[in-house]
Amino acid sequence: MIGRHTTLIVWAVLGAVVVAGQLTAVLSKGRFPGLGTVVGRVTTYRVGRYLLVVAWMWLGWHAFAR
Amino acid sequence: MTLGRWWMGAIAALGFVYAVLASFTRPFTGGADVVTAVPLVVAVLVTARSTWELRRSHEREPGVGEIDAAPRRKRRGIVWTAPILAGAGWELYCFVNLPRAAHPTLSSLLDILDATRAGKAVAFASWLVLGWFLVTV
Repeated sequence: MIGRHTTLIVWAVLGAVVVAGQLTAVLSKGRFPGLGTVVGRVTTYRVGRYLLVVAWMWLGWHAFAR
Repeated sequence: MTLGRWWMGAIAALGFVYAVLASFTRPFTGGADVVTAVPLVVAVLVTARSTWELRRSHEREPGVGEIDAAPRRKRRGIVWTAPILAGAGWELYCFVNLPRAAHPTLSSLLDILDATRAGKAVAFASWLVLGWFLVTV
């Protein structure tokens, strides 16, 4: 049975991976794409852009209104 | 969408003040509904406008460097699939397992941040920045 402590450690590791990836992207000066580049690529497709905006809207409503 | 430095500063200041204002609201109240709905309406309008601008910009010819570099960057972007899938999988695992205190989801972690006024202002400001990035990128 996984407890709260282990769950939080996994979240922290996942967060650290994302931060490390972003730092790598910044330090590589564009040779390695950051999350922003990946999201930017998704938004070049109209459907991808709408899906991400709807996901953002849901996140805000879920987190701050309901 | 290209904005001048003055406009960007004004929008950032407005977003910061708005996030502080939002931190005074509590979920499940009319005030929280209104303060959250306003950015959603703005996002719909800006998305419609930027989609129209994107369609116009596709009419121009791409530069030589853009054609050569794009496929290589595209392959490297696949690296992000692993952490995104791992995060989604872990969120799903936490969501289906109870009690929530032992298996906090991202929402639960966000609730901890939202518990203080400063934390909620930071969370709301981050959400606004993310939204601005999504509708203008």
